[in-house]
Amino acid sequence: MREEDLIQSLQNGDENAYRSIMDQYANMVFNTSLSIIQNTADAQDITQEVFVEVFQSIKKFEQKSSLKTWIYRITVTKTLDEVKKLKSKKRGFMFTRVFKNKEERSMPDVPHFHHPGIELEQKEAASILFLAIEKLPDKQRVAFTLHKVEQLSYKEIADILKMSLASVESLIFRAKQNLQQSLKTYYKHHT
Amino acid sequence: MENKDLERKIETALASLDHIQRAEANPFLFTQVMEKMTSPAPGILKPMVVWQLAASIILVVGLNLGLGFYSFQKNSSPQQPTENAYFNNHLYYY
Repeated sequence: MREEDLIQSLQNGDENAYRSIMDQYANMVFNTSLSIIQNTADAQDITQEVFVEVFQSIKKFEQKSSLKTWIYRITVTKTLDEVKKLKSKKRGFMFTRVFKNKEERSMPDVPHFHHPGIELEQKEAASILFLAIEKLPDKQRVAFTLHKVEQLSYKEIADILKMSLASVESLIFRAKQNLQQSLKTYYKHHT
Repeated sequence: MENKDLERKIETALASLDHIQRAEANPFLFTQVMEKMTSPAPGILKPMVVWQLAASIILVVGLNLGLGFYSFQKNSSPQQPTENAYFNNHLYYY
C-alpha cells in the first residue's frame, strides 16, 4: 500500500490501516522510547500514547514530512516529556537526600538499565554507556540515540528534530565528547 | 599502561551499541491502544455528570442571588422610627 493511501485510510478511521501502521512502526517507536527513557514499562506506556496521538491527530497531518518522520517526532516529544516529569520527581527526591548523611549522599550512580537487544558479552559495557547517555543534555541524548541505536543518518535526525544538518553534526560531536568524559570519570572511580 | 586500559574500556563502552538488536514491542499493543482510544481519559467526566454539576452550581448561585436581593429590598424599604431612636434623638438635642 502506498503511504498516501495508508494515510487516507487512517484518516477515514479504517481499523485495518491502524493495525497495519502499528505492525510497521510499533518496534521503531518502542525502541526509540526505550533507549531514551531506559525503562521498559515507561517505554511501553509511551508507545501506547504515541499511537493514540497518531490516530487522533492523523487528520491534521499535512504530509510535509514522511509518516515515519512524523511518528518519530511524536515519539521523541512524548518521551522527552516523560523524561522531564521523571527528572522533576527525582529533584524532589534529591531534596530529601540533603538530610541524609555524607556517606549516603556520595554513593556513586550505578548502571541500572540493560537493553534487551544487547549481546551478553556487551551487556556490562552497554549499561555503563546508557548511564552516561542518561546524563547528556536532552537534545544530545536524543540525537546520539537516534544515530547509534536507531542507526538513522544525520539527515534523518535533522528532519525529525527540525534542525540543520550542521546542528545535528555538532550535537552528536558534543555528545561523544561528553560521553567520553563521563565514561572516563566512571571508570576512574570504579577500578 | 593504566591510561591505555582506561582508553580501551571507554572504546569498548562506546562500541557496545554497535550490534544492538531491536527489542520487541508489547504484542497486545493494538488492543491496548484501541481500548485507550475508546475509553474516556481519566479525569474526564461523562457529559451527564457535567450537566448535573452545572445545574447544581446554577441552582446554588441563583438561590444566593435571590436571597441577597430579597434581603436588600427588605433593608432598603422605608421604616417607622422606633421608640428608642426617637428618644436617642430627643436626648441629643438637649
